[in-house]
Amino acid sequence: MFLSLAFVAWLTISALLGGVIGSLLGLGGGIIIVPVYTIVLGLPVHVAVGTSLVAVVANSASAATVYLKSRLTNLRVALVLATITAAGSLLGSLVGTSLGGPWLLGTFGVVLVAVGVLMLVRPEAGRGPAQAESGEPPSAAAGEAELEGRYFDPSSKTEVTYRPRGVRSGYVFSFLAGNLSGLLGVGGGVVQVPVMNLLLGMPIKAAAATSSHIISLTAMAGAVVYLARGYVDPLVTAVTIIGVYLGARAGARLNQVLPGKLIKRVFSIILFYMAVRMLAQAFNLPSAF
Amino acid sequence: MKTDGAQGAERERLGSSEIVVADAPIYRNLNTTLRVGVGVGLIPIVLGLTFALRGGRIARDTAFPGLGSVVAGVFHGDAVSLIFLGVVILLALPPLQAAVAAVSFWGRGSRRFALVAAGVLAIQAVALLVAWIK
Repeated sequence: MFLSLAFVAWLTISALLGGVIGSLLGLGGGIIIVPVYTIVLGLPVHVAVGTSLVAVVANSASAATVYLKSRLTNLRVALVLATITAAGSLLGSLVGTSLGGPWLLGTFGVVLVAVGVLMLVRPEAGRGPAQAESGEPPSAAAGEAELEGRYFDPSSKTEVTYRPRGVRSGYVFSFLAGNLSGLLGVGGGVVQVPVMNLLLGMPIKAAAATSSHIISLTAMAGAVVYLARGYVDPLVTAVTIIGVYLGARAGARLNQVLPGKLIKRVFSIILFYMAVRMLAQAFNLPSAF
Repeated sequence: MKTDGAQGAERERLGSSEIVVADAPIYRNLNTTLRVGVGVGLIPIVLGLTFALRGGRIARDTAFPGLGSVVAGVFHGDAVSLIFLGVVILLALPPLQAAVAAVSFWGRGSRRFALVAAGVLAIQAVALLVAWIK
């Protein structure tokens, strides 16, 4: 079987858009790429998921270098949660590769609806209460003190110090995030970031950076399962990795000039549309649009 | 939380803020590992894609042929093998990252986090084993 150059062109455009939109929404490229590859380009859903997961590994590793350099990543929290997330990713990928295409499409459609609703109703994430700025960090248990994080925030020109609390309470959600990642070929940041921000009390920037690092450690556990089962298309993967990488960089720049609330509203409608199309395909229903 | 002797001694010697600073070399080690690894992994992917596009006819095959076949294909300039080599390198980065973290934390006397990193590495190893079981 051969790919046409026109197909490669569409693939490139899709990967670039996936990178831009994923970066604008802070969700990563997978949540856009898997539906577009399945609905628009007609790739089998398992191949779309496997390909996306390999791209997630590549791009999260690339993003992790930036966050490690700026010290936004809380490495100790990342390692603790990565143990659980990796196990979840492995289990999710085993379930994903065992499910039939329609079931996987249907599950993705339901998750897209949930993400779309979350984007519409979720309040803007703020700074967690366990944070202190430019002073003594809040008191915490001895174990929590070992997880303390510190970074310089150039926007406020202050050094931010915080101590995550109740990391064990994040285990269940980390397992869920890993599961979604392995099952659907997404990063899992959509679950991980709010959990670290709201439950563990980490500042949103540190939560996003730490989530990216966790994904760079854990998505591989799911990706190898899809690779071994023959669900990673090398040429589609190559275009996806490069396209998403370039798109994500453009998205990060656009994010600074476009209004955040409007972006979320517009793209939540796109997510709902893709969810309807995926559910229609899953249940073999005619799609009128 | 229970801490071992070395970690207790480390905490006694250093306040928690100093522990954050003491982790700086580990951050540098990981940053270097990832930067070099992503660069090395992307080179064969870009080369493979370029070869495939120059050839005009782009074969589509999703079956991973095995590491031996991939390496042999790379020496013959096969585009798909080059891309698979890049994918393998990128997928090897997370275990390498966990190993570097484990060794770095151990070297700094933080045994608990060295064990946590080793735990991540163990799960990644289990994933590799499970993946190849038909």
